[in-house]
Amino acid sequence: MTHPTTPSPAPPWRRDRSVHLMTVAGIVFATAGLLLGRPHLVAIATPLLLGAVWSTWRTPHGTVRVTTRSTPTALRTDELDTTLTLSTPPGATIVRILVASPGTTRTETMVHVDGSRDLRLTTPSVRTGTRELFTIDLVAATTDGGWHNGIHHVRPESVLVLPAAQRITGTPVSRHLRGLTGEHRSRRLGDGSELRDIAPYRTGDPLRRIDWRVTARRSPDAGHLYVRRTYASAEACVILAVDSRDDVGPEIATWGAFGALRPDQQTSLDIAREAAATIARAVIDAGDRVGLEDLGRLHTPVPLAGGKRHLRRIHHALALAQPHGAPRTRERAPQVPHGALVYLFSTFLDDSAAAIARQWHTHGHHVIAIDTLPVEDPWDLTEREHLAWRLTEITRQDRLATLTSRGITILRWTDPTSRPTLQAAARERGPRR
Amino acid sequence: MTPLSRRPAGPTTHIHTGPTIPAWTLHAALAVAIVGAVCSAAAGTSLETSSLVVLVLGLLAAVGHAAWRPSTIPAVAALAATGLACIVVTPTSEGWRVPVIILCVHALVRLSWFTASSRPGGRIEVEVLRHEGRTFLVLGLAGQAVGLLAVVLTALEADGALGRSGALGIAGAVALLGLAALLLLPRSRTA
Repeated sequence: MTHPTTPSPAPPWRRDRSVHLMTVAGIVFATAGLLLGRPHLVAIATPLLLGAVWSTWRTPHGTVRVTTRSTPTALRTDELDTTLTLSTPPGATIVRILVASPGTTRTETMVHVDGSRDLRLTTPSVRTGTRELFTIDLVAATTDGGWHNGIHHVRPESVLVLPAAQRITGTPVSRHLRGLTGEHRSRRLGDGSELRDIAPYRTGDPLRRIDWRVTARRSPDAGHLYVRRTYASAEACVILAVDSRDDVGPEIATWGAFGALRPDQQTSLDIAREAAATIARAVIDAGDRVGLEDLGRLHTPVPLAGGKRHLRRIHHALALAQPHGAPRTRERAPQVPHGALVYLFSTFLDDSAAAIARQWHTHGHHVIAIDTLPVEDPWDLTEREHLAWRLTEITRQDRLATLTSRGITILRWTDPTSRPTLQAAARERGPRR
Repeated sequence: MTPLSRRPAGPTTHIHTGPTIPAWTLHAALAVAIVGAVCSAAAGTSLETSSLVVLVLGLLAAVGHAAWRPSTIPAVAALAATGLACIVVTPTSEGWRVPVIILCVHALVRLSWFTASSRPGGRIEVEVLRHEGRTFLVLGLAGQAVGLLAVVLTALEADGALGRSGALGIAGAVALLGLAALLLLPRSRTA
């Protein structure tokens, strides 16, 4: 995606103050030398006057063109980048560039441009979602600094950073299976690969199910036919419920929109996105269906489905999930399909998400709560704020303890043991069949 | 979790360029050029050492202020001080002063453009300085040639062989140099 950013009309070239300084100083020195009969004063004026003449002689004409190139979507890595292309007229070889991106200290560099030049701009970022890139201000000048044109302002582009899904082998799925196809064995009889038993043929049984070897052994006169009966195949359904009503960083001092979030630290929503993407990938790799529910919105963003394309759709929906205004309290839990297992991603800093988890649990859904609060950093907190945080944390822990007592599994995603715990739970908890 | 821990420094946006140097080195070079110009111009004056120290410290303070808020004020002040000192001081046989003053004055004017255009925290690509250096060298050599002529003419004046037309001879030489430069150098003006 290319963005031409040359302003229209192009700013005119202006003589720099340094040329005036050289001219005035040179004239003063030369005049004083002539009037006082001091040759060395005229000699001091020589490079100044020659420099002023040189600058006047090399007046640049033409416009400076500035374009930026970046991709509209990117997978989360450790940095974001864009390419800045500069085109300057002959003689204008110096460009002062001031680059800033949200949450970083700005960088100022004076570069040499001989006609045209591509520059790569990078900023460290581990954040996901819609991210603003670079705000660029630049001024072109001639080689001797005698002329410069106006400030070119390049507005920041936006890039949608998709969460990077980690690979985990297996996640707990629902015990209630659905459908007629899938990787799991249902309790029902039907088309499948796992043998249940051998039974006498009944009207309606498909002829291809007749086991001739068993029939020959058990009924040599072929008076009765025997068929192989198998368990039906089925699939599990998983709902990922992301609490996008709030987004908090590790630094407690920045909560409540006080202060800018650092781009090199993941927020709660970044953690939720990556956790949900990881579980969605594991579920779809296992051949099951997965849907996405956003507690910050009133409609379901992504319904249940499977497949690689659906996984990409979920990644996009996760990247677009973001808070809108102050966190709202949701009284009624979103409806989820019968028998679906629900993964709830939230910081549990208020009662809303916990209440929804309890409602789902009461309705018979198995709920796994993923705590997405980053590891807290209490820098710059006053004593009172520190006390307030401790009270908030105690309340939060009480909330999580209540959920645990009701049988809801709770995992903190930033805890390194969370993923092994999830895989262990998957091994222990197969589908009910 | 350490309470009241220090916040680590924030990350920095990076512009991938060729080799660069920090801009504060040019601010330091400007300070050196100013001190060199003023001191060499004031050498041999009846100015008290304490007054000279105050003058130099004032100029360095101006450089420090310009580092915080870029401007050409230090260069203007240094040029004024150097000019006054050059006018006050009677030319002597110390031939070393003229080349040093020419070099320092030219350097401080050029460096003042860089320091007025960039903050000390910024960076400057070496390629920019290399191109600037070529122009600086050509103009500086022309100045030194005229300075050498000035020293010779001053010596002749002292002997009484030249009268007071030495300065006019220098002016004529400068005009010839300028004319030659304009004729020889290509114009970058485009239609």
